[in-house]
Amino acid sequence: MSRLVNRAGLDRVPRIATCGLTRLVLHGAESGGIDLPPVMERHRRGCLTCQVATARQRRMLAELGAMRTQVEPVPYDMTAGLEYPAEVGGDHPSARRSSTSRRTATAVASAVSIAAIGVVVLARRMRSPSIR
Amino acid sequence: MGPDVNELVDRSRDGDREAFGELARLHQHEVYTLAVRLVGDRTLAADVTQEALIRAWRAIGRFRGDSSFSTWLYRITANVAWTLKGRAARQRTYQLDAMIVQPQASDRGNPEVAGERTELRARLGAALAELARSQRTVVILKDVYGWSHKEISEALSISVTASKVRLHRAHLRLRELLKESS
Repeated sequence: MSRLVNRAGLDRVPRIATCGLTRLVLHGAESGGIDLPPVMERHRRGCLTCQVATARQRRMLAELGAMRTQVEPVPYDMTAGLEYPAEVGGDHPSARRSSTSRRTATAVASAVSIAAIGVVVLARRMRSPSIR
Repeated sequence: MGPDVNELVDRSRDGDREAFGELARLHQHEVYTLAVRLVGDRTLAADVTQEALIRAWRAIGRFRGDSSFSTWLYRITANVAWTLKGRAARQRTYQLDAMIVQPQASDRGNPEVAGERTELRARLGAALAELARSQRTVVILKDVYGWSHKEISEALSISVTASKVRLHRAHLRLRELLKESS
């Protein structure tokens, strides 16, 4: 029961359902996000005001859903910006991948060079007498 | 027969600009429609659409195909709209007419029903335009486009709880606004 109540966004199970309380969680119940606690569901079924509110809520959601199929024609060709590769579209992942790999190769080469220099310096120091 | 979207996506991933141009042409109306609904301004929506297409081109290599190409593109659009609208909020005036929807062909059979629906849609459009940007975005993505709270939270970089709370508040506000206008 507590899970049901939590899903309905209420702190505890209401003993008596009122129109105000029912309408507070009505939209959630109608959009399928929550389950109404049984006491509120019973109230809704028996209350004319809440039934009208439910019908209104359903109409609103249906109209919002119907908006999905309405498409606005573009005022002009929106793909025009993609025609100028150097300005906007040139940064394609494949191009970026090659530049990234080039950067990685440079970094690795630098690290290897530094390590080699370090080895040479260490070797020279080891060869020289430890106590001067 | 139209071009195969999956094939176009594969070619785009390999850097074929023409294939991506074709994909963009196929989806530009839907992207623009979503942008108009999210930002409520046709001029800004055009900017959002172009920016979304450019970002999609740059990111197509990372598109793994977990969702459909259109869903992925809408997610980018929602993200761009969220960013650009935030930037433009203080610079532009809001166009209420962008939200007002035209009667559909299916309504023409019954003039009475069509009249009622047109009126409700007009009121709903005006009410949506009155909502705060954060609330309107969630209502449109959830109730119009049927996204899950998880998808909304990912697109807008908010928590799932925040998405649910915004939707709850938006519904309460919408109900108030519809009541006022009736």
